[in-house]
Amino acid sequence: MPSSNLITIATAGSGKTTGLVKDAIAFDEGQSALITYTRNGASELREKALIDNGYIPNNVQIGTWFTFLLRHFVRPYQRALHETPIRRLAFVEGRSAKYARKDDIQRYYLAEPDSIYSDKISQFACAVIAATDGRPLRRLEGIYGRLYIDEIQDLAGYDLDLLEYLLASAIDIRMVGDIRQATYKTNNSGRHSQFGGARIINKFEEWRAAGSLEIDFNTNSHRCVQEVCELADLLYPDLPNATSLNGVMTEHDGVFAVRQSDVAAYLQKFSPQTMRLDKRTKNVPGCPINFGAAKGCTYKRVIIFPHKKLLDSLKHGDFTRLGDAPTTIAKVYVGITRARQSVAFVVPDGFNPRLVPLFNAAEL
Amino acid sequence: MIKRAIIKNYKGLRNTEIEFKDGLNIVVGDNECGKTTLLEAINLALTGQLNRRPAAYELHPFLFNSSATAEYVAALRGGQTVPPPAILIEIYFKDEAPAALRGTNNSRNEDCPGVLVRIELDDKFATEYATVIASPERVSMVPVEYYCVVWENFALDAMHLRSTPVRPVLIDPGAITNVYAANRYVVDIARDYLSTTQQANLALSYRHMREVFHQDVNVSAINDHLRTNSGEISDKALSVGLDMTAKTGWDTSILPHLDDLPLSQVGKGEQNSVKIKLALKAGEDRQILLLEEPENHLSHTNLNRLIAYIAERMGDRQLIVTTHSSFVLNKLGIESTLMFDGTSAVRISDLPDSTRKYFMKLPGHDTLRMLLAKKSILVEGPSDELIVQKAYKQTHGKLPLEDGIEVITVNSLAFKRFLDIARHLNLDVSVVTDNDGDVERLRTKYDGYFDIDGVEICFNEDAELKTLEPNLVAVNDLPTLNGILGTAHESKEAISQYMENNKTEWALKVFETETVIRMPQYILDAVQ
Repeated sequence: MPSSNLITIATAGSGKTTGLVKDAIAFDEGQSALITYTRNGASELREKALIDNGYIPNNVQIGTWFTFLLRHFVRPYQRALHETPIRRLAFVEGRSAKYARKDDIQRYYLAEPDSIYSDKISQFACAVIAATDGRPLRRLEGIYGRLYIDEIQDLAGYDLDLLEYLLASAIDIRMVGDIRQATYKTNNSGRHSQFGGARIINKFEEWRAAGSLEIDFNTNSHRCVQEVCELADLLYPDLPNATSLNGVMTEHDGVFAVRQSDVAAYLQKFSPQTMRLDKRTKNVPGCPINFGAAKGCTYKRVIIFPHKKLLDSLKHGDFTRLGDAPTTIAKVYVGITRARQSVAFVVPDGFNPRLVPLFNAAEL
Repeated sequence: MIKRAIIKNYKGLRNTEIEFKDGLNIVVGDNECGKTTLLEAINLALTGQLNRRPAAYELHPFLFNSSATAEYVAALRGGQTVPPPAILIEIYFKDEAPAALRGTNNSRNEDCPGVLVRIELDDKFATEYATVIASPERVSMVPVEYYCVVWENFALDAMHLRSTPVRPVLIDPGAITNVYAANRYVVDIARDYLSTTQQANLALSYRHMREVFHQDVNVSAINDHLRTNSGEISDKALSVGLDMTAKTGWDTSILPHLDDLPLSQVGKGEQNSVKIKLALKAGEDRQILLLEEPENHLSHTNLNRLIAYIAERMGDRQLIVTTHSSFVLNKLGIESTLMFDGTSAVRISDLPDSTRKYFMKLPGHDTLRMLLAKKSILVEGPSDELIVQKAYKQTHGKLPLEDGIEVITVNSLAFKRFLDIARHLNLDVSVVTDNDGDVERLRTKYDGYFDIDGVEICFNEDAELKTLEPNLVAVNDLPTLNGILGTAHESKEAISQYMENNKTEWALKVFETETVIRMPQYILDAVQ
């Protein structure tokens, strides 16, 4: 029997979140939860539900992954590990309490007696499940018929173990994500680091082979024109290519390299959103947005001020020059795929990029 | 459905644990044992409300158990640092309750769906509280101003009235006598019996009506007048209007009517039965009914009708009802009775099988009398009953029933059955028995019953005084007895014989006489 659990690997601009929200609203066999990683993500889900349906139905609960874990996997049976109530989350960047021993529950998991480190919460959840013979899962089965998880690519470390438990439960799990946009991680645990970034697909394949879920690719981009899709796809040659469903044509569509001396005139004429990898790229005009922060955003046009390695890649027509860091590749992917009509890269005068055509200054 | 309630330090309930069954639960017990408090506590944990308002607004020191408070105050004054009293009410549901309520965060560490209310010192007020206990001589009550109310489920999720999945209907006999009480009551009716959509529609109509008020010709004219004359009072334009704030919603201005009569004008008994009937008609989602003394304010006929209505309509809902009325108990079914003493409750079904079967066969009335009484005195026959009544009246100046004490005539063979019940239900029972000339046999017969708490077996050790008559004759002089009985017997033997032959007649005369008569010691023991 094919599994009813489904993961949809969506391309940027495919409207995956909108689709997930619509599905959740239409689901009428009991309670469902719509879960995403960030608070912003949860607000976006809420807003999309309000736009789509006018109100959020009673049987749909929207929240973040952390809140979900705290409510359903930590508190109900936490006494198996820790007596006094854990009510809050202590957000940590990096790894918390590195030198505490795992069996020292208080020091290893808890910032204060009532607050748990965000990077350890899924590990705590797994420990509770192990200590109670799966009680949190049985409880959850009594509450939800289906779980919808957005931005599945953000899960890491023990999140994956927990997801494995969920996949084995009686609850339907529907997940969407764009593994190419794995710019974030819910935690920096060393566990499952071989599945970091886009390599999380290998874990999904493992689960498919075990019959735990089905994988679906959504390669339709409602947002980007075909040229933008094709450039972005070069970052992930092993994944299916995207097809543009954006039929809008303007006087300036596609991908371009703009010479430094033409930038001012270009900005004047097209008013693109300026973007960069991070703040280390200096002297960017306008209000530049970092790639990572632009996730979920859409602009008509963007102009990217490339960092050194991106410039190299453009020059040699080879994205492997971006290096191995999966999050950098993901961030560049996010940056490129923000645009509906055009993506421009700023290059030095006299520079001849192989990857994108030079913009003809005569058009200005 | 509620499986169990655990209550600590709430009013008279110091440490209570009580188990409930599906369907009907009739709670009986002494007047002061806390039956009403029990319902109030259950309602508090299920709704977060006290007196129909959020509990935080209704906190006062007398919510806390008086002995817990006294111990706390004494400890403080004795120089000890002790944790201040906290109230805990836990409601454990059966497994079919919503799984979201499930967890092990309860005092039994049990994996169970449930909700709880804790009223405890708010740690945020640590500094203020430190000041309070620094002068213990000025502490006489729990400093509730530094307390908070925690209402959450066993998964540690905070509860809200809107999100409460198990909502009870509490029907108390409190009368609706004024508009204020009626208003509070209408909010409840709305919450309990109107759907969310109906409530929203009512709110919408009410808002519309207020807007229309402003457009009314007369109101407009008044406002125009005020506007043109505003300079005298203030520079700004003055006008009148209805209060549009959320606080003055429809629920504060709408009054329930019964046959076009405002509910506050309807008689108490009728109000009560209307409340009960409304509750029973409420939707399926009101699975728990808490019913306090349905017999209040009702005539016997109306009570009869109401009880029949309850029995017929309760369906598979859980009904927890407190009562003083043996009539209610008898009608609704004695097997659902819980004898509550403020700490725990015992059911008839907890009795040993043979005793229970026997008990069920007895005429309901006598056993009910024993169940509901504060204390019972079991006697062997009508003459014993009359003499015990008389002895009680001579000692206490009133009849036993006026003190809630029942004198019950029981076939002497059945004494032990009654005592079995008394033992199981922790009842206070005295037995008054003849020794029939064989004290040893009597001791053997009641072997094992002498040491039971609350049970007292009274008889005369003197084997010569076999029955009541010679006992009474022995402690009184002949002229007194002759005077009371209107006889002229010449010896104690003769009058004793006469009494044996005219049992009820002499006893009635003794009962009715104004003359003081001396009573045998074993009877005095029983009425003490």
